[in-house]
Formats: sequence, structure tokens, C-alpha cells
Amino acid sequence: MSTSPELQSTLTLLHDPRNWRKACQTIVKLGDRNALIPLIKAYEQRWEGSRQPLLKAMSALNAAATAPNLFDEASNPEIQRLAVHLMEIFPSEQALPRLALAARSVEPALRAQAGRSMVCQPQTPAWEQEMISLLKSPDECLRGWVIEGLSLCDRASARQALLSHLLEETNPILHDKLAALDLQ
Amino acid sequence: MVKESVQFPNKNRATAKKSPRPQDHAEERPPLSLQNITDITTLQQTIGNRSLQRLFDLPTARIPPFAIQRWTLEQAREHVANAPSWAGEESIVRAIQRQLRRLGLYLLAVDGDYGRGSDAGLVEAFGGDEFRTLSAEAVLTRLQTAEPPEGRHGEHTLRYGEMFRDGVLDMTIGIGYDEALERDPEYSLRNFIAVLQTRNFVPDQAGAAEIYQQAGRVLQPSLADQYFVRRNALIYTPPAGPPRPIHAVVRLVSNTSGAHGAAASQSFREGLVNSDTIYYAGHGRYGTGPDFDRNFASFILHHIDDPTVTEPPILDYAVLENTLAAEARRLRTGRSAWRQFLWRHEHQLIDVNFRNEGNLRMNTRNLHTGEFGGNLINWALEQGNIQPETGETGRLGTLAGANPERRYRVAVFNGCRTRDYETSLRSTTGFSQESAHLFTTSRTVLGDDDSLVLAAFLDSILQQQSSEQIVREMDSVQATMRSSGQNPTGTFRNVRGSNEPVIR
Repeated sequence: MSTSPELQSTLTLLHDPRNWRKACQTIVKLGDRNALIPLIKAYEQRWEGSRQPLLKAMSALNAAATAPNLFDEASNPEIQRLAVHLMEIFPSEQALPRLALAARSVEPALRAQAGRSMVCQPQTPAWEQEMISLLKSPDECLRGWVIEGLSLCDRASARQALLSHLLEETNPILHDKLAALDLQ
Repeated sequence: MVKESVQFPNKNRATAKKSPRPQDHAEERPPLSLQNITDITTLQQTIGNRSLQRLFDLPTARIPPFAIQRWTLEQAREHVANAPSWAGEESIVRAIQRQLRRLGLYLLAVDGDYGRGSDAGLVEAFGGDEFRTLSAEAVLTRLQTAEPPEGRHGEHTLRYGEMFRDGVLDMTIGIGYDEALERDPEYSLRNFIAVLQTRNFVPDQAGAAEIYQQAGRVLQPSLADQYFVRRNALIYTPPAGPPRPIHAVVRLVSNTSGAHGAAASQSFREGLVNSDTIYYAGHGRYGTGPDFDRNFASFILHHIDDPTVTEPPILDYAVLENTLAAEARRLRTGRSAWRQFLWRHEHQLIDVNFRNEGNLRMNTRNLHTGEFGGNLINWALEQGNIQPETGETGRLGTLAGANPERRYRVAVFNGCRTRDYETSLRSTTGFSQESAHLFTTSRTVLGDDDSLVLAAFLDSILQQQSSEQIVREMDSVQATMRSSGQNPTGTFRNVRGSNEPVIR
């Protein structure tokens, strides 16, 4: 990642949540999309406080349109996962092919994040088809997200897919979750 | 009890120049009775004889000869049910109190009354209840030859004698649910297990059950619990008692699958009531209390113009806040994100799927009304009619009250701004100043440091450090905070209990 010295020094401020507002103002002014991955990394810090400056900055850098490119250009699975997390926060139809790919990755953390991000995407017929196919995934964590996503979809076809899957689900927690849904 | 009534002189200073106050009318004041002798002697001890004279306008010559009535054995046993047989012997109790003071184990007045303070001091001196069966002379002799605990002058230790009374250090560690770790739900659990295993704790539920039994407890298996044991984890040497080994049992409570929030919160509650030491690492949830499940499963926004159409689900409440703030701006409603949420809820334009099974609610008052997350979590707890665990009617107090054998506990809350729990906990049976030591945080903390902080705390307890040193150790290991330019000193608050020994 090639970044200007000013962006580089601003990005170091993101380590400390108290500096987020100031850092984000500079990042928006610089308008460099290379800041998106550091921004989502900061967003993931386990800290109980407002993340609004980060969200505004990511939005200003057009995260929805840029995240698929960041996924394609990622040098390692962790960067891919961060790009997939951007797709959760900024859903778009363009994200679906990358999410489908990520859901089949060998990296468990990438698959889990893909599952979460899939739940938040526009519920198009293509999305539904992809979700139904992921019910067959051997990854229980991913299947959990897929079940959650389909259960939040109003379509009868989604409910029918879950009903069919109920008989095949081997994980007892997921089975109980499915059984508790009103699928009729 | 002396029933004789004593008529005190009027405290009437009213003169022609000064309007009499209602309380100045002598006839309105009932005569003081010797039944109140305790109050008067307490006043004497507190403000002194001269002040007492001034208070009652007593000429020196007319000070009534207060014969200080000390507690009889029966009276002592009203305060300490299992007080030793010599607890009513004033001169012996005084001598023992003097020795306890010398050792730093008793900080109250040497008054000859055997109360909870004296009893707690003796438990610390002997490291248990042995003194109850010894003669007064034997107790005094042992105390006279005892050396004060070593350490930094003026610092305070936890009541290790009380904690190790049954030969066991029983610790419950709760890992709060963290939505940020859903990509790797076992992250904290793995790190915490590594902390335990590098300190020679081994997974051993059967061993834990056996040690619990030794301590008079029963292990109740739970889907949320894992047990670790370290036999002979430390040698405890009370000032007036022989050294002895202490076994340590750690119950690790977590909900990594996301499906056992209720079981995890129940286990942690049980730990708060019954364990010597309780450690929580997780979100403070804006002052609402520890939480062992995902707080919000999803939010679905309906189109304002056509409520039958919905937006894709939102899983993250920070994203919801951002979306609602943007909506309010776009619609020029002048509402904050929170007001926009309430408006949508009132008009049935938002579906909120929340979970409360894992919450241990500490406060019913919202302490963070300026924060969207704080408002939302408090709103969800109200919607779910989740009752507080704390206070007179809370479950924690009820359970702790039913277990008077557990007289002292140490609780660490390593989450953001957990000082918010202090007031409500202190008003709860079993967590008052007399019965609990609290370590809380004064600020938001970064979760990446949690295993380091746990390690620091565990090491400190195993080394029986002072509470001040424990805070220093926990403050000093917050690597993430330091690398981000924050000064971690002052993160942890040392909320001391009463009757805790001081290092002389």
C-alpha cells in the first residue's frame, strides 16, 4: 500500500479511540481509499464507545463501491476478511460474488465474516440462491449465519429452504434454532 | 440490660436575646435513658469528654459517671454467631484487639467489645477458624508472638485468611460475549486457557468437584463452564497460624457458541455469590452489567412510505446509529439518532431482535443517556422487563443473604467504565463494604489487553499481594493502551472493603 506521509502519520492516530474524530477529519480531507482497511481495523477494536467518526469517514471514502476492489487486491486472507467486513457495513449487490467466494475460503475467520456479511446484503433472488446453496456448507458457523439470514427474509421460498434443511441439520444448536422458527 | 433512667440537665441555651428553637424546649425532650448508654459512650469516644460536656451544657463536676457496659457473650453472639466462649470477657478482648492492631489486622477502637471487626481480625491472624476452639490465653500467646505481615507500609491486603479459610481458592472467571469476536468466537477463551495452563492449572472437572466438596460446596455442571485445578497452588502463612497449602479451582464461564447465554449468566451469578474471587472480562454494556450473549441479533428498518418493504438486516448497532442519524438529517426531522429510533419504534417501522438471557443487570438507571448504545441497551432491558440483580430485592442479594458462610468476596470487573456498577453493588447484601472488595475501571478499556490483565490479577492473588499492588500490576500490563499512546495508570479502581488488614 503506497500512502502519503501525511496519511501514514494520520493512520497511526487510529490506534487510540480518543483520536478517531481528529484522524477521520484528516482522512476524509485526504480522500485516499488506502485508509479504508486501517479504518475498519480501528472499527474492530474491542472498545465500548462511539464509532461514528469511523463510519462517516468510511462512507466518505465510498466504502460500498471500493470494498469489492479491496477484496480482489488483498495480499492476504486477513485483509480479505476486513474487506468483507466493510461489505457488511456497506452492503451492495456488487459484493455478492466476493462474498460467495469468501464463504468458500479455507480460512475459518474469512468464512465466518462472509456469513455475517451475507446476512446484511440486499435480498435479491441471486442472494437467496447463494444463501440456499450455502446451507450445504460443512462450516457450522457459516451455516448459522445463513440460517439467520434466510430466517430474516420474508419470501416463502426462503422459508421452504429452511424447512427442508431442518431435516438435514446435524448441529444440535442450529437444529434447535431452526425448529424454533415459524417456517410454515 | 440496665433500665435505670437518668435525667440529664437541659441543653437550654435560650436567652432573652435569642429566639428559642423548638428543640430548646426542655419539656419536649424525653429524658435520656441508660438504654442509650451505648450512644453516649460512642459520643464520648468520638468527640471526647469536653465536647460532650459542651453539647449537654454539663459542668465538669456533673458528668454522670458512665459505667461503660461491654458486650456480654450473648451480645457478642448477636453480632458474630460463632464468637468464641471468651468473647464476653472485656479485658481479654481488649488485649486481643491491641495485638490485632499491632499486626495491622484490626483498625477499629480497642473497646473490649467482640464484634465483627475483632472476629475478622482473628480470622486473618489465624487464617481460619482455629481460634474459636482455643482458650483466650492460647489465642493471646499466639498473637503476641506473631509478626505483622510484610509488604509496603500503609498498603492493604485482601482478607486472605477469610478467602483461604477452607483451604481452597475458588475463582470464577466470566468471559463476556463480544460481538466483535464472532469471526473467531473462541479467541478470548483460548487466551484465557493459555493464561491458566502456563500457570500449571489443568482442566479437571472431577478434581474440581472433589476440592469443592472439601470446601463444602457442590459442583453443578453447566454447558457454559470449564474447570481448571491447580493443587497446592500457593502456601498461605497466616501471622499466628502454621503455613498450609491452598488448592485453586477456576471455573471458566463463557458462551462461545452464542447459544448458552442463560447458562453462562447463571453460572457467573452463582460465582458472584459463592466464589472467593470473581473476575469478569467483557463489555461493561454502558453500566448495565456483565453480559454473556449477543445483545442485539438484528434490526430491520421498514420503508417509511411503504412499511411492507424492508431494508436488508443490520446486525451492528453502531451501523444502526449511523443509518438513523443519516435518515434524520435527510428528512430534516431535527431528531438525534436515538430519537429517530424511538420514533420508528413508536410507528412500528423498526423490528428489533434483542436477547437478554445473558445479562446480569446491575443498574436500572441509564448512566449514559448521551450515548446511542447506552440508550439502546437500557431500552432493550426495559422491553424485556429484566430486573436488577442488585439492591434489596435483586437475586444477587437474595442468594448472598442465603449463604452467610461466604462472608467476603473479591470481584474484578474488567470492562469499560465498570465503576458504574459500584453504587448498586454496594447496596446489595454480600457486596457491602464489609463483605466485598471491588476492582472496577474508571474508563473505557481495550479488549485486546484482557488476557494480560487476567494474568496480572491471577499472579497477584497467588502471591497474596496488597490490593494497591494488584491495581498497579493490572494497570501496568495494558500493552494495547500503552502502544496507542494512552497512559494506563489509573484504569483500575481499588474499592476497598472494611476490616481489610493494613501493612504496618
